[in-house]
Order: sequence, then structure tokens, then C-alpha cells
Amino acid sequence: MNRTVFSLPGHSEYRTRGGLAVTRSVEQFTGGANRLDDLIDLLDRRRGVVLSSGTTVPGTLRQFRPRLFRSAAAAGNERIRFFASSAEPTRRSA
Amino acid sequence: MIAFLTDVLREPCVVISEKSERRLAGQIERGAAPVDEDQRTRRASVMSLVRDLMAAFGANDDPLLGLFGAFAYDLVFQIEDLVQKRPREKDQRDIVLYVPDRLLAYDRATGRGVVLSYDLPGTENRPRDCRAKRPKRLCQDAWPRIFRSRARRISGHGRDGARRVCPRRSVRGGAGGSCLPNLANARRRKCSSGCSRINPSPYGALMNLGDGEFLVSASPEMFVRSDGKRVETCPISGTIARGVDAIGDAEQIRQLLNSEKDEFELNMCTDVDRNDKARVCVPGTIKVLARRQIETYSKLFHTVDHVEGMLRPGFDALDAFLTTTPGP
Repeated sequence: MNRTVFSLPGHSEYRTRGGLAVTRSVEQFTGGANRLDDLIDLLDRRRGVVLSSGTTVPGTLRQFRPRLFRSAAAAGNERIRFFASSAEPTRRSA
Repeated sequence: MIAFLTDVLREPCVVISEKSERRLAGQIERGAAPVDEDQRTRRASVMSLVRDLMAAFGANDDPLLGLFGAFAYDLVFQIEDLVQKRPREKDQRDIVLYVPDRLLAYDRATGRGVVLSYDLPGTENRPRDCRAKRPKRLCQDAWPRIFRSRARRISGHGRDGARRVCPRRSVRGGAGGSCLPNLANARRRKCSSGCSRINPSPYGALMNLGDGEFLVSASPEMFVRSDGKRVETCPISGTIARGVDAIGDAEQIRQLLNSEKDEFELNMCTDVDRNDKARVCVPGTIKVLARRQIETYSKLFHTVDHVEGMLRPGFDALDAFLTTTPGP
């Protein structure tokens, strides 16, 4: 587990390497593992990703469980074409 | 956000042909293949665009902000000059990447979790409900009956509900990901939780990719991991069923470790992997850290190697990914 994430300040403002201004707030997650299932159910309606890693081999693999809900932007490609959208896109044209 | 993206897409091969408030479209000018073998991951491709996006959204002050999503097999056509033999669906997407506006990191071992909320420009009026408007069309790239039966097995429902199954890997592994575009919501959830319960895997995923497409992954194998300097892989070859009890497990492990066939197959996989790494790693840094480790799963044992290398200056994590693509 990347434990540096547990020591982040509660509120911070910074810029990404590309210059995008980001405001980040951090709060403790309460509710335990049972509440995770409720949150995962949100993926039925919202775009997003759940990643899980559950194996630990000492000195080699680490445990890491990031979970993500809702996307701010989406990018994809159709062969060599690409598109990006700032909100839920309508059906992509060829 | 669109204005920001327009500004940061600086690769000369990225040609933007359409720009509006909600959409940015364009194409990649591929150009000729590089002469040097070790430069093939640097050839202009859609990965040049991804490299720009990674640089744009990465932040030194944030360990998690970045791109999350899935790559498809067909990205190999971006890297190798292969001729596509079978037609693809017109709406097939090879990459779907998300920039998070909310992210939860949870450590099951300690029960600790944090929620990170990001305010990004242009995301204030984002829609909260992204329910699929219509189902995906039929999309199959292998013998249909095999995948129908496989989907029924993992999702536990009938023939009709699984008739549109698009087998795909999420990251790696034949037993890895499957796209289940038109299963009912409850069934998708059941499929995902069923995988977690019946066959807990080290690398699991559930993704809503939009446009009615979902990806479920239960893979035992890490494809590749890189922090930009170090690159790691864990090739798997060698499989045997679990025993009926602890004594049976010990006998099966002994049999697996004494199998020359399994040993030679893993040798081959690891040699190929080391050769792939040699394109982008500093000579002499590629090492086998662990040899034929036994990994235990709910129904079987695998033998696994662990290989690392240090990336040469001028190469990044994306090169580490591309050099091993498409993988075994």
C-alpha cells in the first residue's frame, strides 16, 4: 500500500506538470469495508474504475486498493483518431 | 478543460481537426518506423498522445492524480506494422482513460481509507448520472460458444443475458478481463463480487467505461509496473491444481517444482521478458529477483518469476509498458 496517501494535508492547491490548477481536499473514509460495496454499486450508473490488489509477497508485491468514482474527463481513440470531452459525451461520430 | 488539453498536446504528430466546448478530435501522423529497434516504443502513435496527457495531469505534489482506465489488445497495431485480418466494430475503443475528480484509497489490511476530492477547471457542471443510453452491439473476437459459457459461469445467469460478450484483457492474462456490455446492473455487480468471492485475484478491476461498456478483471498476473525509473514484471508459467488438504497441497507443489516442462516454459517466458526489457533498460540492471515462486490461489498453484530492470535515460513508464506489449 502506498501509505503516503494517508499523510496528505487536508487541503492543498497546486498545479500539475502541465499547468492545470488543482484544488485537492482530503478526508478520512468512514464506514469500513462494508460501505465499499455500496460505493462500488455506483459504477452501475457512473463512469469510473475500481482497482484492487490483494496479494502480498514480502519484498516484491505491495497491496494497493485505489477506488475511483466519476470522471472529469474521458479520452479514447478509434484507431488513430482520438477525442476528449469535458463532460459526458454524446455518441461519438466516426 | 478542452482549452487546457489543446494547449498541452504538443507532440508534432498530434493533429487536432475539431474543437468545441465539449469535444476535441484529431488524428495521429504516424510517420516512418524508426531504424533502431530500441526506439520503436518512441514511434509516433496514439501513445504519443497518452504521453502528453500523462505529463499534463501528473503532479509532483500528488501521488495518485493521473490517468485511470484500460488499454485493449488492438493497441499492438499502434506499435507493430501488422495487417489487420478481421474487421472491427466501428465504435470499438482501444483506450479509455479517466482523470478522477474523486478518489478513494482503502487499505483492507489496516482498515484505513482516505477520500481525495479534486476540483478541476471545467468540471463544475459535470453530469452525476452516466447511465448507459443504449446497449452495445454484439462484439466477439473469439469462438462465441466458449465465451458464452465462460460468461455464464462467472456471472451465474442464463444464456440470453450473456449473449453479448466481448472477451478482452484489462491488463493481462487469459483469465483476466472480460467486457460485459449488456448485462443487467445487478448481474454485473454479481459477476464482479462473484469473482472476488470465488476466485479472489491479486489484480482485480471493475470499470464502467461508458457507452454501456463494462470491464471485469480477475487476473493473477501483474503485466508490468513502473515508477518511471524501475520496471518490474512477474511472468507466470506452471500451473497445478490445489490438493484436497494441506498434505495434498504439499504433494502438488512438489510435483510442480519437479516438472521440467513447467520449468522450461517459465524459462522461455522470462527470457522473452528480459529481452523486451533490454530495449529500454540500462545494460546489466535486468535481474531475476525471485525464481519459481509458488503463488497460491483458491483452486491452483502457479510458479512465478519476478524480474526488474532500470530504465535508461530518455525512456519512461510508457516505454516500459509498450516494450512488453502485447505480452504472452
